[in-house]
Amino acid sequence: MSGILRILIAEGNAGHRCVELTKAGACGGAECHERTLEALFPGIAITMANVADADGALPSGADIGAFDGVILGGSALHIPDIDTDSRIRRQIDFAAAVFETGVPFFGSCWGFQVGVAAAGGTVIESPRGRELGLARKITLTDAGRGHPMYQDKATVFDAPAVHLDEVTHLPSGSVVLASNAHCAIQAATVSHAGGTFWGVQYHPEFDLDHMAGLIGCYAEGFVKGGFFADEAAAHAHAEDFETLHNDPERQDLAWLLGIDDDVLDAGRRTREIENWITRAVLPQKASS
Amino acid sequence: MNTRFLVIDGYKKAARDELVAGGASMASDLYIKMLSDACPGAECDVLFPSDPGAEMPSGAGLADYDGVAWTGCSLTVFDETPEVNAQISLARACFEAGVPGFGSCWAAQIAVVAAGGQCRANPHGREMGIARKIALTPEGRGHPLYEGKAGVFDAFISHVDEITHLPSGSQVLSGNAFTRVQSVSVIYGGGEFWGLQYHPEYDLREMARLTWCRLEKLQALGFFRDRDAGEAYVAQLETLHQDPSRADIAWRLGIDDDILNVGVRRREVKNWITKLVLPTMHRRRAG
Repeated sequence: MSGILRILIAEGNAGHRCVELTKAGACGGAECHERTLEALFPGIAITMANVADADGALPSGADIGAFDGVILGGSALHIPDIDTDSRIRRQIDFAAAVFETGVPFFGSCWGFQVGVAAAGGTVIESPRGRELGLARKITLTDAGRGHPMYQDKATVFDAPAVHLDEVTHLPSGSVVLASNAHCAIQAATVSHAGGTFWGVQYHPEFDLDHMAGLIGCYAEGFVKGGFFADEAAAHAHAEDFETLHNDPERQDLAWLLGIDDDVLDAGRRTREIENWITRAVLPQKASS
Repeated sequence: MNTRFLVIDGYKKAARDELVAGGASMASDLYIKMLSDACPGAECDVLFPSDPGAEMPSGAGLADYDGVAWTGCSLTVFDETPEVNAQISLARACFEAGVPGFGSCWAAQIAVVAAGGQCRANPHGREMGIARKIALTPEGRGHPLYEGKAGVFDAFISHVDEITHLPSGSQVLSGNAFTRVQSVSVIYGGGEFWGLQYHPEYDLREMARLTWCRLEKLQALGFFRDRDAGEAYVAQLETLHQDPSRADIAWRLGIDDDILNVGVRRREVKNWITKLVLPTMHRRRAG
């Protein structure tokens, strides 16, 4: 066993979407996870793969087994479109292959939905519409309070979130770990085909700077969705996020927008990912 | 016979006048409105115990009421002034009269202190606007005060002091990261009091006007960079109050249904009346 921790981070967005996001000052979902892991675990060896595009580097099952952990992050795709969009089927197949290898598997948002769907669960468009900005008052279930993913996390917290779809039915071998008023399944663990998956509907890997980029990138759609009166309001909100990101002393903005330390403090915000590495990936690596 | 409430408004006259001049309401008026909505036909008397020469009702006078409801107040519970001491004595008399008690903010503090507990200035400073992520304790989840309420919710708030020590016979029913005791039940001297650190009696307009009345102070504390920012916030709250369809404002400021929906926001008041006031009233009147 090698001492270096090797993590495969899969990009769930089509390549052109990542380019668009990067232009807007955000980035693809995989890159967000890469930055988070590098900040938490300097020296970690990360391999990136685009699993959405047909010409992306999709590792075969054997390749996946060479990693200590696999992460799949956010994407603008929708599981309910599976029959008409090969980029979705490709990722479900990828997730199924990860489960088969038994390598610890983590997913956020789209990654969560893909992990659940690959194991036989159900994802639909939320009847409550889009959850954007902060998912508020996420509350751990009894199982969540005792789960290693939430060690040293408060039992109630806010988290960055952007999603339209949600998990409604979990496969057997799953446990709901967290929930809020918008979305009943904000986190779950899924044991399937020999693998264990930890998933969160929100984005612990997003900081306010990234959220600002996302809002700027999709301002038009968010105005249509009723989140902003007009595009100027969307850009002003994005600017507030950036200001607060660059100057955490701006407590006036944090208070105004209702953004607490569970989001502003990177250590607290990314605790689930840190715990996944230290409590799922490292123990399995040590025992292999 | 209708349900009779005594509303105790501890603000001094000058403080009440300041609120009204700023477009806010007297705390007792908010309480009368809230009680009348929750309990049709309620008869409310008001007492201003901080007014010079205020006549404090005694045992028999208090026992004529079916419920005593205390408003918030701008006094400080651990200041040993005559106004504060008089209210602590009054709170004790209410417990001893066996009349169900309820109140917000200052009221919870005064009930706790009257029963032998303690308060102090919150080391986190002022909690203002919206108290976020108030979570019920296991006792709170099983308490009638919270029947039908979510296990986690936001609420209007404005305070600098907090409850630190509870007398025996008391339970912490909820708390959040800013304030460990957001609600209590106190059983003392034959009476029972349910107290909230937050304010179910406020609405967005009241919160806006209260903020406006305190703008200078809030700016000095760092809630607003300048007066314009404060006035813009007040205007946003007032716009949302007038037009609840402005979901964009609610979303930006992180104001959820637990604040916007009056039934959710005032669930505790409804529960106090139906679970404590009315049953106690029927028992006393039958006896």
